[in-house]
Amino acid sequence: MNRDTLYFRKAALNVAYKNKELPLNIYNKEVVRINHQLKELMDQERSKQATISIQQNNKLKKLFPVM
Amino acid sequence: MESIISAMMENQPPWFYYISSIIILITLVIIGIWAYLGAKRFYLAVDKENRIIALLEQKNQLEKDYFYQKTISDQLSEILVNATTFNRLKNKYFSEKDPKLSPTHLAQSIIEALSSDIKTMINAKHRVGLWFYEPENELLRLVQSSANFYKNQHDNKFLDLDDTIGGRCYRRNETIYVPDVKSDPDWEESSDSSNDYSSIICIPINDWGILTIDAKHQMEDTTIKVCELYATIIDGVLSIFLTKELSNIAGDQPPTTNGGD
Repeated sequence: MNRDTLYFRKAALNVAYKNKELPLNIYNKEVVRINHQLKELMDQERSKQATISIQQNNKLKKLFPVM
Repeated sequence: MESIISAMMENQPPWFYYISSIIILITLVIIGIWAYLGAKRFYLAVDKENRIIALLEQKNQLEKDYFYQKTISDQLSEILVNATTFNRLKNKYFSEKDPKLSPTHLAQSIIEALSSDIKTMINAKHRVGLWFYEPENELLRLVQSSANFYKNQHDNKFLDLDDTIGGRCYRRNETIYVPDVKSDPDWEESSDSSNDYSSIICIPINDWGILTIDAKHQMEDTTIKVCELYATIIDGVLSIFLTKELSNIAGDQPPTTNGGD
């Protein structure tokens, strides 16, 4: 599930809760789950970015050893 | 010479003076009439020329208006085609005929289409953003946007509910058009708004959030209506998504996966 979908789901839960279509306990449970998924996704993205940056640095070091 | 003329004049009979006066008067009248007619003809010629210039100006203006109206008409017919397509896709998504359709993809397509469909000038530039309300921090978060709108910075892009035009739109639940953002009391220049977008339309999407359309020039009334039409379609997609989410939760099923990639 991508980031946009998670935010869509979170917004849907907020709307449903505001319109009293969802009880508080289920709302809380689902929001916590989505927040957790979002955090995981962001961590994954950060680690991916870090890996890419390390790979790029290594490539640059190989190309320009003086640097 | 002077004495000769005065001698000649003194020797003339009285009738000579009367006739001379009458002849001079008639000559003056004829010259006057001739001058009047000449002036009148000149005036008519100049007036004709002015009218021709005015008509040419009017013609140019009418041509400009015609091309503008034609552009608007072409644009509206394109918008109608797009709106029909999006409505069909929305219905497909509702009836689950196409499992690949997702609300995020639909909303993104509508946003991209809107940012290009409302262009009325060649150099016009718009950007569109979909913001969702987050009750836990009372902010509007940018969730989806057109290609030219901070694509990689969504996580950090928020609108305050109290001190922004978007927040005002959400609070009041009404469409707001600000032709010059700098004159709005709620507008505040931030580091990432270092751009020359000068006008904004904010459209509320029920309880979900808002749709914002920024432009580098003032927008037309038709643009507001077009934006409202697209916002209504997005609202429809979101309503279907909400219904599906609620049925998923109620059925205690795993969350729908046709929303993501």
